[in-house]
Parts: sequence; structure tokens; C-alpha cells
Amino acid sequence: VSPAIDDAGAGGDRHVVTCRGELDLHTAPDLRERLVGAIEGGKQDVVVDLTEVTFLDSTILTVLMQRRRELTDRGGRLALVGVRPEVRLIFEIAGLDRAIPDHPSVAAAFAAPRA
Amino acid sequence: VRRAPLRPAGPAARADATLAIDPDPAQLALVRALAARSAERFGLDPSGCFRVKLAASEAAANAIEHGGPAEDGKIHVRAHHTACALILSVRDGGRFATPAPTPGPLGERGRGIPLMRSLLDRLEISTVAGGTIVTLTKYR
Repeated sequence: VSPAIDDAGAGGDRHVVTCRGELDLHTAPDLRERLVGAIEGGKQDVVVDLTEVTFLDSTILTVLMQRRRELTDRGGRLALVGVRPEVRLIFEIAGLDRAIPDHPSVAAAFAAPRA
Repeated sequence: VRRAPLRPAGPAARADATLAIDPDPAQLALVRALAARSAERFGLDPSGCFRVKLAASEAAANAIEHGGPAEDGKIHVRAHHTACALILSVRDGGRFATPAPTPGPLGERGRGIPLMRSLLDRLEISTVAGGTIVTLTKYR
């Protein structure tokens, strides 16, 4: 699967970024720009769908953790969807498996109560 | 800093694969493919193969981002194995700077080196003439 990232508003302050394939230093700038664009545009409830992501590296972890911090500082939240077991392993090894909540679907992520 | 072996240790070692990439992040997929193939040939299970692939990708990304190309304009990746060890090396043209301290649980930078250390059994960083070699070892 060739890597690709798409994003779209999901109504109100909701935003979904959908990723596919292997994410790394090469794709990190694209992911960062889309997330920053959404956050600066006022989106507070941001979901990154990793259902079709088979790999991600430490630069992607950094992008996600920085955006999580920005959203939290603004009273918003970042959530993940569909983290596969092998991708979960990367979060676990980095000690970040509880840092960003993971949900089975985009709908479940938006439906989850805000902390 | 310990010296990494520049040659396979003994006649049992086999040079499995080498790859010379441009210092371009788009090349990382090639490094991961080489690492995954080598890990499979070495006989690791899927989880072990995934760890090797991730560690190799981190090492090559570091080389691209911080090291830069060797004298021939390339970053060199090599994978070989002995009876008991799979050894991956990444050579670049940079001088290795002391890595940032390990980040806290929610730290945001400097994850690559600690991640590589956690993934495999050994990580060695050697300064050589004209550059740096990062050597990753996974024991059977």
C-alpha cells in the first residue's frame, strides 16, 4: 500500500485525518501540515484514523505528541482510530500507549466523552 | 563509544545484502524492505521482523536527518547474519552528536535512539574515517 494522507472536516469543530500505508520521516511533514492546519482553523476534536497504517516511526510519534499537546492546551483533544497490533507495539515501546486514546471507529472516537 | 566490527565476525558470517541510498526520506521504504527480508531469512518471527524493520528505519532516518551522505553521496546500509546474530549497519558521513537525554513519558523529541535500544539487543555507534556507523544487532 503506497502511503497517503487525506483529511476532511467532520462537522463543527471535528476533523478527521485518514492515513494509509507506512508513515515515516518522508510523510511526517504532510501529516504535520494537515493537523496544524486543522488546529489553527479552530478544530478541537481531531481524529487520526490509522486503520490502514502498517508502520510508523518516531518522527510520526513526535508529530502526534506535539499536536496532542497543542490540542490539550486549547481545551481540545486528539484521538486515534484503528491502531493495529504491530503499530500498537511502537507506541508501547516508546511508552506512549496510554498517551493518546485509541478507538475502534471514527464514530466511537467522536462519541467518547471528553475528558 | 565502542568500536563496531567493520567486518563480519569470522568465516561463518554471510554478507546478505547491501544498499546504497540517496539521503532522501523517500528511500526509507527500501531500507525497511531490506531489513524485513534479512530478518525473515534469519528466521525471526513476525514480531521480531517488525522490530528489526523499525530499528533499521530509525537508524536510516537518523542518518538522513542528522548524518548526511558519505563521501560518495550515499548512505550505506548492510545486513548480514551469523549463526546466532543478525547485524544491520548504517553508515553516513556525519559526526555523531551526543543524543538528547531520554525523554519523559510524554516528551516530544529524541525518541529515535531510545527506541532503537529497546527494539534490538545491541546498538553501537562508531566514529570512523569520514563518518559514523550505527550497528544494530539482534541475537537469536
